[in-house]
Order: sequence, then structure tokens, then C-alpha cells
Amino acid sequence: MDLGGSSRYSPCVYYDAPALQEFVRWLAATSASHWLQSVSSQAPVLLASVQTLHLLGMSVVIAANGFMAIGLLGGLRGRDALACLSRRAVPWVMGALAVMLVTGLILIVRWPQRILLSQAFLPKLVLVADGMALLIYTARRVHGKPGIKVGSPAATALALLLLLVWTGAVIAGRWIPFA
Amino acid sequence: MTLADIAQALRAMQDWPVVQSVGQSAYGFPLLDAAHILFQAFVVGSIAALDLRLLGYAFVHRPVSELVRQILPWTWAAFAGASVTGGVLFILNVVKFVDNRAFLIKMVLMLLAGANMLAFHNGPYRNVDAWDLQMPPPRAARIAGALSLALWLGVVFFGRYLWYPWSNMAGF
Repeated sequence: MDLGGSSRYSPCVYYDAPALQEFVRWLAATSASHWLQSVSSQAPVLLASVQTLHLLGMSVVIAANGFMAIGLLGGLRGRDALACLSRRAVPWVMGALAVMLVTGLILIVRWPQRILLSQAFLPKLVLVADGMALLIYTARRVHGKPGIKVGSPAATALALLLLLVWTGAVIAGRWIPFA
Repeated sequence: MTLADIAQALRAMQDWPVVQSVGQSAYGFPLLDAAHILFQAFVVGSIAALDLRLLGYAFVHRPVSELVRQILPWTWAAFAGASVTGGVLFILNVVKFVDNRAFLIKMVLMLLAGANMLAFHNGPYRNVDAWDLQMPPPRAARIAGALSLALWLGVVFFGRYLWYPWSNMAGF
């Protein structure tokens, strides 16, 4: 009995958007998409490597945001731990998002229908944009004057929002093949 | 106990009510998979931060011992979450995974990463006070950091690869 894995992949529920469907048809017919399809069947390691890079970028983003939230809740030891983290987190997250953007585009060209027509794709993009804006806002609040007090209601609310938005982004991303 | 007995026991686990309910729910499997990815991403990201510090590329003005105290307890908590969710995913897909070489390689790489961490804590980290802020960190610490990065990179790669039809390594 195989209850999980690829057998659960169901056909996408397509958006009722003719322009998007037309774009997807055009993208799937491009030579770039055909080339990626042939590369991934002849050298699957390359495609798995692109997905690995995407996941590594996500690891940086999730860990940085997770520790920001933990710091806001007072879970990091050290006097200026949160300030140090927030100073360094944003550039690392920006770099990781750039990696995710490039690898994500490659995956879209490889599977335009599966990704672009999935109902989970747009929510994922919105949540990633929200999460990034929230991270930048949090970093500014940490360094602003009078700053934000660790463990205060405002800090707790920001921490919970960070956790909620990025958890939602990961769930939406994982939901793409299922939706 | 033979391998066949182990395989039979693993298949029997699929009849556990909790496993059945996750496997048969429309949302159970994607949510479980997302939780596993979330925990794993936190584990890999936090370990990478420490590894980059050991290599002298990040957080260079923070003492290594302080970073270890700040990061590792949360890493262990996330690792526990990844283990539980990964365990249920394994049971759900036991037929697929039990003779999947990509899965076995992932497990071996995780064991090696654990051994590397043990060697670091029982080796260079014992006298961390002597090199807490030293740049570059000692050679043994840098080797441990580089090994850890490479091993966890492999864990992520084979964790992705094992889901593909060609994960019996025919593609290699």
C-alpha cells in the first residue's frame, strides 16, 4: 500500500484565466521549455540540483525568519543577539531570495502548467512578498528609536506574524503540485 | 530477525490509525510534507549559519561558543520535529523507500553529519575558549564546518531526489 508520494499528485485545478492559459501554452512550447524537459529526462541530477538550490535558499530564509521570531519572543541568549541577527539577516535573506527567484524561474519554464496554473502559486508569491516586507519592517523596528522591546506585546505580535506568514508560504509552495 | 521481517513490520505500521488517517486525508499528506520541509529548512539553515561561522564567512564578530549556545537548542528542537514528520512520511511510503537507494544515502549522510558534529564537540570545541574569536578559526574547526555544509547539502539533494521515479539512481 502506497499512501503517499507521487501517486497523490492530482491534476491541477486551472484558473479560469484565458490569458494565463495562453501564456502557459506559449511557455510550454518554447525551445527553452523543451530543452529543460529533455535535459531533465536525460540528466535528472541537474533538475534535482536546481530544486536543491531552491530548497537551500528557502532554508536560509526560514532559519533567518525563525531566529528573528525567536529573538523577538526573548528566546535568544546574549545582550545584543537580536540586533546583530537583524543587521545580518536581511542581506542573507535577499541573497537567498535571489537564488530562489532564479531557480524558481527555471522550474516554471520546466513545468509551466503544473506551477503557474496551480491555485497555490499566487498565494505563495503573495505570502513571500508579505514575509519579506514584514522582515524588513521588523529589522527597522529593532534598530529604530526607541526600538522594540523584546517580549513586549508588539514584539510578540511581530514574531507570531513572521512565523505565520512564512509557514503559510512554505505550505503554499508545497501545495503547488496538489492544488 | 530477517530483512523480510523488518519490511513486514514496517508495512504493518501503515495500518496504524494515525497513519491511516493522515494517508487517507486530502490535506494530511501535503500538510505533513510541508511541516517536514519547514523543520528541515530550519535545521539546515541554522546549521549552515554555524558552519559559515566556523569557516570564517559569517557572524565573524560573534564568539563561536555564543552562537552554539544560541542556535543549537533550537536546531535540536526543529530536528525533533523533522524526525517525527519524516518518520510518518517514511511509514506512509515504506514500500517506495525501503529499497530506495537515494533514501538510504540520505540516511547515511545524516549519520555522517551527526558523527562530524560529535567529532567537532569532542575535538576542537573542547578548547573553544582559546579560539572563540580567532580569525581564521583553527583548521580542525574549518574542516568540521566544511564537512557539515557538504553533508547537509547532500541530505537536501537526496531528500529531493528520492521522490522521483528515477531515485533508484538509474539517472547517475
